Amino acid sequence: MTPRATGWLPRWGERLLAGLLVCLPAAAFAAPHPPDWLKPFLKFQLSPSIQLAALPGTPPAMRVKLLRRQQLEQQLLRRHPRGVLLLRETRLRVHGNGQITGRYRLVYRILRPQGSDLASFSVYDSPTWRVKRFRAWEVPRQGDPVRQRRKDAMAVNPYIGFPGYSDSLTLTQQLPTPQPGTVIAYDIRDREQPQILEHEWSFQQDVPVLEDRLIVRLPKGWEYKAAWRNWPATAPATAGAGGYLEWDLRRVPAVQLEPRMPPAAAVAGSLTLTFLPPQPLRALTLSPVNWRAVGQWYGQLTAGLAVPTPAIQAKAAALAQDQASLPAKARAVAEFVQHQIRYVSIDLSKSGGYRPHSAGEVYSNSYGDCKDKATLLIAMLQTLGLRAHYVLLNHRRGNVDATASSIGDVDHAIVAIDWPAGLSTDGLYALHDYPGLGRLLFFDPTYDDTPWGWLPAEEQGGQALVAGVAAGGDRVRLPVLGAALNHRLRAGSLVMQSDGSLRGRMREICSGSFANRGIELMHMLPERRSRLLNVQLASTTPGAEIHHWQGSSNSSDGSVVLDYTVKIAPYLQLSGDTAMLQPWLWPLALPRLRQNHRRLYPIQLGAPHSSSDFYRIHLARNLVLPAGSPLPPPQHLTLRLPGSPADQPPALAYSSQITWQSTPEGPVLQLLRSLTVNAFSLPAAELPALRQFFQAIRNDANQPLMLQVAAATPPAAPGAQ
Amino acid sequence: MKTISRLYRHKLSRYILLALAGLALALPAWAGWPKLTPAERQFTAPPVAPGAAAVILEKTVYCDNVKNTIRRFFRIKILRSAGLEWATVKVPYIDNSMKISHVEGRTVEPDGTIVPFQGNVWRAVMVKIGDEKIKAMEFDLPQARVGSILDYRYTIALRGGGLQDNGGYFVETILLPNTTWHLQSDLFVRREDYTLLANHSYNLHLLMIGLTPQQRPKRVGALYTLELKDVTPSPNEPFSLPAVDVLKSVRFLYSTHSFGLESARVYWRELAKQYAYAARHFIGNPKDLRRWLVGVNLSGTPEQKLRAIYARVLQIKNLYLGAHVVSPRQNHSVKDVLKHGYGYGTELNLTLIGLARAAGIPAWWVHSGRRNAMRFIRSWPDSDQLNNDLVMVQLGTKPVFLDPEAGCPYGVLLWYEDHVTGLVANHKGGQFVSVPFQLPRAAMRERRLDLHWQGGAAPGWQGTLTVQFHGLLAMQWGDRWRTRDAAGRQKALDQLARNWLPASARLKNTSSHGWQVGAPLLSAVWQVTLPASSPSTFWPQDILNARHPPVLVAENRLEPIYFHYPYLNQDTIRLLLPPGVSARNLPPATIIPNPPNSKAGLVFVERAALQHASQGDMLTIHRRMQLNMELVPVIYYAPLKNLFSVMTQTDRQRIVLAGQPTAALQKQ
Repeated sequence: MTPRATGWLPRWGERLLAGLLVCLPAAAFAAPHPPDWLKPFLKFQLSPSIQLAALPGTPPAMRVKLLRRQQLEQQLLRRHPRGVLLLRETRLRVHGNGQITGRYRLVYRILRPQGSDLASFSVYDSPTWRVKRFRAWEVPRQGDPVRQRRKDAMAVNPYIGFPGYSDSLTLTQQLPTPQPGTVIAYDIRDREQPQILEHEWSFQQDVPVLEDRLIVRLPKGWEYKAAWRNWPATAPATAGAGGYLEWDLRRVPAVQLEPRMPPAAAVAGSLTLTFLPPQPLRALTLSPVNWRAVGQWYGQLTAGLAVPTPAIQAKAAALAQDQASLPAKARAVAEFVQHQIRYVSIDLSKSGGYRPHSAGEVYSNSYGDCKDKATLLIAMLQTLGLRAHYVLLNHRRGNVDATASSIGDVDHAIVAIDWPAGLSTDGLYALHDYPGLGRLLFFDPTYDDTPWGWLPAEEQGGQALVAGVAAGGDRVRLPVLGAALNHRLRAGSLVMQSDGSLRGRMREICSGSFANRGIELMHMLPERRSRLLNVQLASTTPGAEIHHWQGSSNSSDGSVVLDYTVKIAPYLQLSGDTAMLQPWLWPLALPRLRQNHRRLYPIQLGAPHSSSDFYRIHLARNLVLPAGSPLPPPQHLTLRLPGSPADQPPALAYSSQITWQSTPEGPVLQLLRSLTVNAFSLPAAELPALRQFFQAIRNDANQPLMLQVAAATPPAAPGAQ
Repeated sequence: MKTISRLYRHKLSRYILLALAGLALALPAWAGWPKLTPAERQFTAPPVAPGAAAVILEKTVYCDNVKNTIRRFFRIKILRSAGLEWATVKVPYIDNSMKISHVEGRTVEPDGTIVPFQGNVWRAVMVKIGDEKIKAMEFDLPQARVGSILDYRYTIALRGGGLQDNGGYFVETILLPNTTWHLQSDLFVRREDYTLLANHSYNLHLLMIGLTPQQRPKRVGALYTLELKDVTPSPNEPFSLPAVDVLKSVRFLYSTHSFGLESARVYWRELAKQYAYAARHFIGNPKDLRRWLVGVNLSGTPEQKLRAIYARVLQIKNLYLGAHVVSPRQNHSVKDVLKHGYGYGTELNLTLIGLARAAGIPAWWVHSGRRNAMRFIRSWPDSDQLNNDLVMVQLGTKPVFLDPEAGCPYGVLLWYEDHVTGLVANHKGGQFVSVPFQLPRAAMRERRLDLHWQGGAAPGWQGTLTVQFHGLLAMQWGDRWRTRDAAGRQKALDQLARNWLPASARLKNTSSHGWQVGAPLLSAVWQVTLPASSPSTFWPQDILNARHPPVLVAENRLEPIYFHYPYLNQDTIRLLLPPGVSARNLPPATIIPNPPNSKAGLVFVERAALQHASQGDMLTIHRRMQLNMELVPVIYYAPLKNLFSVMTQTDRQRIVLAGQPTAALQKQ
């Protein structure tokens, strides 16, 4: 008898339903299977070549090749990294309308317990850069694998705790139990409608990479430009018809993390691809083939925004009316934008993060981000008859690659003012003459603490793009103010009291980056400032306390004067007729460059700066220098860059001198010390010399002074009868 | 008046009256902007915080527990440019259970011009996990500058229950919002008004922190009101008690119980019964657990037995501490824990109780508070206060408190678990016990540096550095680095020791022991070289950088100093001087207190001694610093600061090593 269908379903339908009813619950409770593309990596062993090479029948040529591969892998893993990136594959498809769809696959293996951070991965999600898929797998050596989907990711707004608003989110997948041996994989798909047609392939990471592959498919008629950074240029391995490009890099060593190293992006290998569409799309989007094109694009993007409204004109006129000269008027306007317009960033992804608000909007709101402040300043300067331009840069020196012309490197905007030839330049240090651009005065209205005419220390000497000039845009190196301008002089006089304590009044005269710090201290709440300064001083001079702190800034030259009193109790260490004291009271900020392996990257020293100490310590009258125990000899230490000419100042210089003066009131110790840093950085090979240099300074600074008490009485205060 | 009381007795009229009263109180703040007084316009600096960046001139909060709404009004004056950040208003809220509406704001410029807020109110997702979203309502008040007065207000509506419900654990079933008035903030508050319209259907409990009895909120029917003036900003001092214990606040708690201590007693009794029931259910019959004691050495004294059982429990994989288990299954009883060989924190505590009882040792489950969260208030019937659990074992007359959940060594608790009140769970209704204070020896660090002079091509001091962390410190450092492999631990240890020695020192960790969970001692040894051209030097007494962090630097202090736990640090430095080199200028010994008294709050001894030996003189520096207290009243701040200063000065003293090694030794 043939079984009958129930009537409302055909027989095959019943079978299908029955099958589904059986399979679906089983599928729902079964552990998720890793996808096929991940399976080869689950059994993958690092350096299996040695076993293969030893197999009988392996041809000698193959054996050599396998042994070579093993050698290279061992070389790659010689520093016991916490994990290894087995594979990263990036597939980009550029569509004819400029849209880019991407698929990214990453497979890590955790090698050490410290590699558990590789089980966490974040991607950026915004209305114009939409993440369509974000899956993650954790496949342990034993046990069931774990799979997470996009809905399992935690989304966090990047503006948490930051003044501003953003419609973007950071999606983070955090896998639960990463262990050594576990394979971690991510599969991401996104769709982007970029304003800028470029992609940065950062293939060098903080873990070694066994294989990193980039596959790009371009529409017909499109071209590309490749700019390599810190890596030899390589042509695409496969360049077939239809714009198919493929790069495949193997065994990329990890970026070694070192103290005082340049920003990771400045030393890691990367490839910036610029996509060049045919017209008319080329006119609508940015293909940053060179800095001029980027400048032109930014000029178009900001066209009509930096226009002074009547309200702006009135405000600029009101600010300028009490000022006699044009430089003074410009300064009044710049300081208004710097101090009266709050920093608040409204980051909407539709504007691409690069388009500022109009000057009128920024003025009426009284707030904006860096590019908004720049827009308002440009508009206000325009009412004074001064022309100004946007300057795009990265807030960390070294991050902008001069050759790549990548807008992705840029994260900050300041202003460059065309400074007319006949105009006074007194007190203007961020001024430079550029061929083709003329004399430019740079000003950053975002940093509250940088005075007019100066440039923040982190920006000095960095690469920047001046946009909206006649030629479109031009890359420039920002001015360097020099060690003499970034200077601090600490001077004063301290008197030893009858109880052996030391008291006195000190003054610090600061300029440049030191002045910025001084202004920051002035803005601090008094209790917080007092705590900070006392902790700092007490780290070298225990028992030291700072009181009556006062700060004032000199508006004419941008310098800051800090006055305070110091009390150190007790100061003298007495033992019988011997007294010991520490002459150098203030710490010198010397970095500790501890490193067990060979240095790879240059040592960053910050912007050129110098600091000097000059103070007198009036000692008790019954203290004398013991016979045959002279004062520490004067120190004159220099560190020169190899091959630098003798007439050039050394990269680092240190000098110190202690002199003993006998006066009717008692002996006086006169202390003079200075440290000058003239170079931004030193080559890696100079690390031993730099360490030695710093150690010599430390030895000098920590050297106590031994004195003798002339009579068997406690030290008497200077001048006491 | 009679009519009102008659009306009040009628349920419906009661609500109408309450609503009208609430409206009358709230009306001044919401009908229009409160009038700006000349005093507010001319306000320049608060009397207690002269350098303040901004000040709250007025703050009004109206909580309606009938409609489940909160309305807030702020009037802030910007005094310095750093205060401009207050012009950006960001209010986080939970998307599904809260709604923010009626957002209004304005800026009164220093010249009196009023700029109403007409901009966008942004609502951005801040954090999203699954379907749960935390959003932030944000707006920026325009034209804010130094001297401006910012007015803004908004209403929060709570949907279905509330944010801070009572946990619902065992007894409480009410899901009403438990309001907390946070009266102190980062800014000085010139005047603040708080109002609560309570839900009259339930009992409401009130707790005041940092307020005097005179400042108790006034009650009219279901309306609670509080007005405060000149409220100081929160001090934010280092080494302070938890903010929740010191900052001024009023907490309201809905409860099914009536008011008063007697009722709280009933509450804790019921709670203890519930805990005891849960423990009994999970442990089962202790006799059935005896077979799991096979292999545990149960000979000797009860304490030895208990130690053996404790060691057995510590062998169970603690999932709470991150032990890795492939596909763990749920434990329903102590038997399951022992069978599977793994368990989460509380399950391990109950396993210890079960095994101890199986061995005939009485043991109980104790719920206690944590000193790092808030102090326990017995009259406050809120189970959230007991957010920790321990095991109490009776050994003779002495109770012993243990915590295998946290992987503590035997007899040691986490610092915040001692000196607290605990509730012992039993079916009779429980009892409160005091978890005793741990001795400084429970957190001891011993360091020993042995050096001798090595001449030759690379002259310098060579030797070994040994460190031993005991008890609490062994656990803290072990937890920090246990998950790393041997190379990772070695690197971390080298990093630690580098902070103790001068910058020029070279060192290498050669061994370390005691990384297992519950180990009472963690020790490590390094080979140390201090390069020096000659042994003649000024040798600092504090070569191991033992200086206490200079935390007590502020001139004055407002809050007690909270050191968390007592501790003992002991250092011994032995320097074998080469023949020909002598030590002089040995500083006199410093002993605090003098005469020595080990019961003093702080004991400090530092002395250097020279012994003549055949190989050369041996210079020994001994330093001992013992803190016997965890909380120091603020009146002792100045003497305490002085003591630390003396200690630091003593540490900085130097010993003169003079002379040159004899030629015979230099050749070595």
